[in-house]
Amino acid sequence: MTQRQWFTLHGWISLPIWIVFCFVCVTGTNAVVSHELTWLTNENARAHNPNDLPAKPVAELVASLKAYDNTAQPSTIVSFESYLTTGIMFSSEKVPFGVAYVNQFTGRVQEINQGPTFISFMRSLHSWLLFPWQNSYSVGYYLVSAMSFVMLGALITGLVIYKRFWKALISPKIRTQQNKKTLLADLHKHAGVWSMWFLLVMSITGLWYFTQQILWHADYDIEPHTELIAQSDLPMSQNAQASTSLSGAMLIANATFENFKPTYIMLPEHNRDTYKVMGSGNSIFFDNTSYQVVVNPWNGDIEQLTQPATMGALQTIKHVMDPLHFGYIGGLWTKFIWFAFGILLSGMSITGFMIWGSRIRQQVKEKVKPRATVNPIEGV
Amino acid sequence: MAVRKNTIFNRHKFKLSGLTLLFPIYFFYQQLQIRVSPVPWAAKQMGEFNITIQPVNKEAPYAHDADWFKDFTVFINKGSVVQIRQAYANIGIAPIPIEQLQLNDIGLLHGSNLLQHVHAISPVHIAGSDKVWITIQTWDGTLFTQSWQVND
Repeated sequence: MTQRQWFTLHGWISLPIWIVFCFVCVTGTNAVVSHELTWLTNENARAHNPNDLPAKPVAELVASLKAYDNTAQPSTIVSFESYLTTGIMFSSEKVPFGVAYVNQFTGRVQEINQGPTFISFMRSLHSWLLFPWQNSYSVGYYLVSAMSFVMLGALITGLVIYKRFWKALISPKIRTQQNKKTLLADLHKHAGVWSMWFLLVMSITGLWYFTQQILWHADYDIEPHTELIAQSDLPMSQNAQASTSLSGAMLIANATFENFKPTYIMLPEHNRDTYKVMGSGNSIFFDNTSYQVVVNPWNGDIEQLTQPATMGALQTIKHVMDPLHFGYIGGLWTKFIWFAFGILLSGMSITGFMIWGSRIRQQVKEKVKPRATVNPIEGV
Repeated sequence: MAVRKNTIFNRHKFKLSGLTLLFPIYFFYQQLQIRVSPVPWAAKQMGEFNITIQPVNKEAPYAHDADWFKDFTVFINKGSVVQIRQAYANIGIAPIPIEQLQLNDIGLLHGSNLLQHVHAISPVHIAGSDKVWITIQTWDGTLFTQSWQVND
């Protein structure tokens, strides 16, 4: 293929969908820092700890919610960041479905949110463009994850076109004093070269999300299915009482894994259901639900154990991809790096379109003038 | 990426993908609307319980793994969730025996003490003669079964 053909291919891969791609990049960039934006914009979501108190056990936070609303029936407890309050999803006589923001240091219920949260809205908008879910698939999820093919194609063709790309790394040069087209081409090339690693990470993780959607659609269980409590474990008596409480299940989970940090806890929804305690542990590359303990409330037995060492291939990939895609692999610092490169990537789709626009204008002008030789790669 | 003719389409063809973004706006608008579920079906007595069921939507059964389901909300008007050991729902001409139901986790009533939900086991196509069957087992092992005609 000639250089010009590669250039044409680069354009045809990216230009037809550049607006949607840009939107996915912008919403993704926001989703990366959605926890931090929530902290900045909603004082009730902040876990203030002026007296430097230790975090209370989750069972105490549930008790705080029940003291606040004595009909509250908690179902799920979420705690992803130490600077945000713990979210307790619940229903009560007054609240059909709500999330209580409970300060894990003081135990105070700071807000009852009955609508979507900014975090879940941004992630839904970015991941499936709010397209509805048809049980196991969403057209939007397919659409967004298919962008990974576009991104990978644009990266490969971009590198083929710009063969001496390392020059932009060694001696970056943005020519601001020449014409607009030169400036746009320089910005586009430099942003592309500097974000090569980021484009690759987003492409690979995006390809996984596309694969994951196909697996979901085919009803393939990536995570092992949690079995029901055996019929024999359930007593047949009027005074039946589960022996293991939430605090008991948390003690079991904490004793099972070293440095366990619970992040997502699901409470039993019926008598043959279990406590599902998920969190992070010692493996830094795995997401914050990679360590899981399923506890039988009737006898305290561990029904199922999940941890990185025992995961299968697909399960491992699933738990490694999210921290890479959303940039929380190294905490706040990596989130801000991902945020910055997210802006660069969004900008590249815009500058790419602007370069095409300026070429079109030039071609229209050339129809009335003798044709000049233009180097599409250098943009001058 | 040459433009062969300076037409409106050629100048704007790469902006057409932006129309896709009308979908999130529409779906967001849809999410803001209050969902109206079908009318709850008549309350019926099941031993010490008085139960009302309400289909979550008017849609046909859906597939999950190898089974088909239709979702219902279950209101326990009299009696309490804490009195229930296990409870199931299925759609068909007869209730599935509890010995068979309790082998799997499908068709189990779940939720809070305030409100119960169920993904009722369903045939692929619901016939006019089919009924929605609720089977409740209390802690002493007593079984109660009640049905609602699908066309009720």
